[in-house]
Amino acid sequence: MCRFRRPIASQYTDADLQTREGQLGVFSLRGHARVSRSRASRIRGRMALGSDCGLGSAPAATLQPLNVLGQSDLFGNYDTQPVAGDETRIQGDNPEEVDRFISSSGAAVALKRKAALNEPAGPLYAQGHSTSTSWKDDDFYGININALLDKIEAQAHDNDATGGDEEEEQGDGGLHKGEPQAQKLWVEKWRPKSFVDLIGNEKSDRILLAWLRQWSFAAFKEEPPNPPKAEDSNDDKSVRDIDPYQRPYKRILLIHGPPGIGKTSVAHILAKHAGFAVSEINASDERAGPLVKQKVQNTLFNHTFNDRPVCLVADEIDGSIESGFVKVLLDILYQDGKATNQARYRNMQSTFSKKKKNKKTSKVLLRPIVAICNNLYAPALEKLRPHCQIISFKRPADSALQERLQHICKSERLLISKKVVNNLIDLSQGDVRNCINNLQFLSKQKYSDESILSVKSNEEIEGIGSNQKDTSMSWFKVVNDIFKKDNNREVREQFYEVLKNVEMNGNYDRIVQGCFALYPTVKYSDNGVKKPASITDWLYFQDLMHKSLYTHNGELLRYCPTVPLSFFHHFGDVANKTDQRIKNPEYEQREILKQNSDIVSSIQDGVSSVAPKRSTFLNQKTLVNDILPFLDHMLSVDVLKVKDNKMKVLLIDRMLAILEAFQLSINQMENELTDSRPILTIDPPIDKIVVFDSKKIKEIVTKRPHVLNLLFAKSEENKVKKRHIDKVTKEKAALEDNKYKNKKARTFGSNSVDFFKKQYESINLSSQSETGNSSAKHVNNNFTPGDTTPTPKDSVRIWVRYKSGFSNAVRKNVSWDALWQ
Amino acid sequence: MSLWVDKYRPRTLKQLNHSDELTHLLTSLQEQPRDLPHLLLYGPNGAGKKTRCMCLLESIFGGGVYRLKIDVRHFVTPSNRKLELNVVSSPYHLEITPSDMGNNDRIVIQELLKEVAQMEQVDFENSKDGIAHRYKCVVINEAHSLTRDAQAALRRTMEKYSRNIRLIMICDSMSPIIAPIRSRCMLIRCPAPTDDETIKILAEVASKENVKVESGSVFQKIVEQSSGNLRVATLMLESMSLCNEMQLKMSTPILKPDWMVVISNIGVKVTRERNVACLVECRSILYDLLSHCIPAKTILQELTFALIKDTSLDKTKRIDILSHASTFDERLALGNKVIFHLEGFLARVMCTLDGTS
Repeated sequence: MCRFRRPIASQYTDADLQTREGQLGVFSLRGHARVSRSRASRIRGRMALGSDCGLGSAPAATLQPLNVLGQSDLFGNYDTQPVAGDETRIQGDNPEEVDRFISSSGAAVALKRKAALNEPAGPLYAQGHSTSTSWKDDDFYGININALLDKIEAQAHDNDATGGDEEEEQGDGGLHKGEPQAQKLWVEKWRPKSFVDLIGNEKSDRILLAWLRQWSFAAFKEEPPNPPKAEDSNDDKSVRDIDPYQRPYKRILLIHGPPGIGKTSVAHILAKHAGFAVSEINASDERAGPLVKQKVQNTLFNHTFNDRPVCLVADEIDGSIESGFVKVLLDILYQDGKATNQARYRNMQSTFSKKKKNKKTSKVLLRPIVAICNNLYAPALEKLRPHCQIISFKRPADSALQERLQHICKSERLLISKKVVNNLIDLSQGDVRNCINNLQFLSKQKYSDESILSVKSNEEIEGIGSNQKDTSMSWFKVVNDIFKKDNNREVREQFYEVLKNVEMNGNYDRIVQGCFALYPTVKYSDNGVKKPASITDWLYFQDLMHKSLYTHNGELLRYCPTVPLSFFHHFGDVANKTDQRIKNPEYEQREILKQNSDIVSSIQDGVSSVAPKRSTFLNQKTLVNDILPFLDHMLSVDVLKVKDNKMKVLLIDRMLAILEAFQLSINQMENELTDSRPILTIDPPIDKIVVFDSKKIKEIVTKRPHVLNLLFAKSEENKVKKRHIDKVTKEKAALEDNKYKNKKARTFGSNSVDFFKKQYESINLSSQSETGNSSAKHVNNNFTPGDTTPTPKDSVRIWVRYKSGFSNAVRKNVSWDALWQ
Repeated sequence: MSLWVDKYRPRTLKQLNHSDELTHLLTSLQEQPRDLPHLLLYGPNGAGKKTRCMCLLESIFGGGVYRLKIDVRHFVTPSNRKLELNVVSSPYHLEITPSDMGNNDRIVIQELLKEVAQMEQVDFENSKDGIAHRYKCVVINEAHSLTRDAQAALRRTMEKYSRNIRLIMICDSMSPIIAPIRSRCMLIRCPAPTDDETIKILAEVASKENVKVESGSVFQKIVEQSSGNLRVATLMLESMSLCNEMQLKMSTPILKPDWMVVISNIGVKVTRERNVACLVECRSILYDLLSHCIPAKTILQELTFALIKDTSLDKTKRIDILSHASTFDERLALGNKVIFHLEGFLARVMCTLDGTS
């Protein structure tokens, strides 16, 4: 195959076709390229990018004007008409009725052309597409910054010329020319439409674009440009080198960031920019199980007659119900990993056609997937995260946002002061979408009321803002406000305010909990504890109403806000001015409870594992209420004080028995009371459940370890004893066994082999007794006392191995006698 | 070797040593093992319900009922959650504890019981009279914590498979058991041992364990503190004798569980001072108690008794306190936020004691 430098988009396919037929296309192609480059220098400004980033696979098919539009509207250029070069090629190559396409997989497909759609080439268009830069020459992913700047400049000039009529430029087809009151939501209208429209996150944008570019080999069958060094670390590169499709190492790109900063827009624009057609799956689609699987498989693995390969944009994947969808993605990755491995060990230099075959049999992922979420650490994403290249988007810089908003204002002919814009930005905390929404809202207000046309007063902005501030008013602020009473204002009014705050927050449970935690600390006048006694009825009411969440689907939840009102009624006082911190012991208590009940159940399990008989008489309640407290008493006996030795032994034995019965062990543990000095404690720690008294808690650290030390030593001793007894009994058993075997052997003494062996041994024995000075000696086995006259068979050769120190270096064999000397 | 509670636990009907009337009833039941009805044993804590149940089983099936093993059963809920449950079983019976299963006890009851109920027992040659009974017993511990659904699931099974299965339910209180089940069971109340019986049992244990006891009034003291709970009494005896070198004197202090001491302290505190500061203090103690796995109901109960014990109270105030206690007991049962109600109870009691309510 011939390789050629990347030509203009339209000519690329032309050349591709021709090379398939033969090699004659090369010359003409080069000619084109040269011409175009010379042109490029001439009219660099107009549009470098359309063809550049639109990538080669686009033949600008007349059958799909939509797609062509998609390619080019990135930079506000319209090319609903075929490229001039293309046209000539079609005319030259084919008769009118047949058109050739390159499918996304690179196959050439011939389709019949509908005559009606065959439109003539526009001169403007030809001009627009004639520039090009070579892929290999630039390091900017096909974006020539100079060209961009020039373009913006040119746009600005245009604006001046047309009197700031931007709407046409923005590509809504000149919807409402000169009429600022748009029918469309501004958010949609001012959604960024090209790379230059994007604000903020420039670096992330570039990473994303670079990542998408890495797919070009897999998706477009074209050699990627030299990967820029800044983006790829070395190891990443090496892995990619192995990958037969030269895809990025992490197959999924995950964008995360707060809402409203344009994650979705960026994904769409850059995917288009890199030459992909975007297929979006978002939360509005059914994303559970087999349905979505079908859809994803279709988009990713089927070939379309669309001229561009698909890029899957999975939006809003951090919902809790999305785990099904995430699983689908993981499945795809897994299959891809398997298929890639297969492909890797096949002939890596194989031609495209061969690789295509692989693809049909195995599911190699050849299309990029971009996933978007708000919360990176959502539980649904946990498994997906390691497979993703993660890009974080942050709120754009205020200055950039301000510029953009002012640009919008200007083109919408909305006169708004800089201060107001800044206020807007502050209120929305960098949420671009929210800003634009509010801006439109402002403009509406303005047009309904002509008198305040020019400058919005600060208060009004605040008015908009306060709406938002209310919703984000935190529960502890609400709680603190409940206890603040203002005698200068009417009570009814304050009631309404409290009610509004509570209802806005909506977290009734939290608020009431906070009120409950706070009311003893605030100031109020009361006769004894009358007020707390009467508020308890309201708390019961709250409890019942809130419980309906679980039983009646929360039907009664709407009565909950009355409870904070009663708190206001009872405890609201003028003296409460400052906000107080609200501690939440409820949570803490729940955590400890969980720990403790775990301890109890572990004890229960321990008992049932050794003695199921006893465990039937044991349940959690009796364990906690009755048994464990007394168990603790029994184990805290101060044995050291006992004088009588006999009693001491008895007590220790008893305690050890109890420890064993409940499967408690004595362990060295770090205690928080002693500073990091490990002490002996009982494990599982029953004292945690049983002991309340602070004096006693101290005792656990100070006194008990001594007793436990004793117990520990004793139990170790017992263990050793037991092991010893076990060993002895085992040895005995082995000896018995041995004897039995010997007996058996003797009965079969006539065996010829045995006979020879015996002969040999007797010789051996005699020779050894002659030499006498051997390091080892035969010793009669005297373990069985009854066996006083052992046969030669019974004599065992004993080697005593003397180990001195820990080193293997000094190890020598010592004779039995030497040991006894 | 284990605790004295386990060591001196009766294993057969003959060994049972208190409430002789009940023992007599059980003996008459085991005489006709073929006709054993479903049983519902109820009574206070530490009265020997479970012990009696096991003794009865022993008398019917023989010593094999104590050959227990634990196996893990797996269940799948309709929502595809997998459950694991430890089932203690002997060749003749099996035990389940619904509180282990939480809200899914219905599924366990249905599946486990049906599985048992639909199998005819074949291995009965080891039982005492061979062919007499072909049923398996299912012991349900803490039957009072069975959910409504689970109890409803039991109803039909109890009748339909009564050939192959006998239920013995053990519960503290009968009130959570639905009426249809009560009507299907023979209700047996296990009363707590009388003080004399407890003293007798304690004395027996003490003599067997070579504990030197100064006088019988030591036992009297223990009995008073254990409030009819034989388990607590025995545990108290053991821990006291261990702590005092196996010698019990009149002066020997009674050992009580810490949580009980803490609760009675709250009672004392409330009678002494009544203001918000005290309430705050009590709240933190209550949180502490709750986090130490003491159920709110037990706290309320002990607290009430601790308050009433105060001799300086006049009659009407005691009645008021009791009525508050029952009100808040209901609230505890119906609500979820126990701390609200426990503190509310204390506040009410304070008001009552102040005479301001």
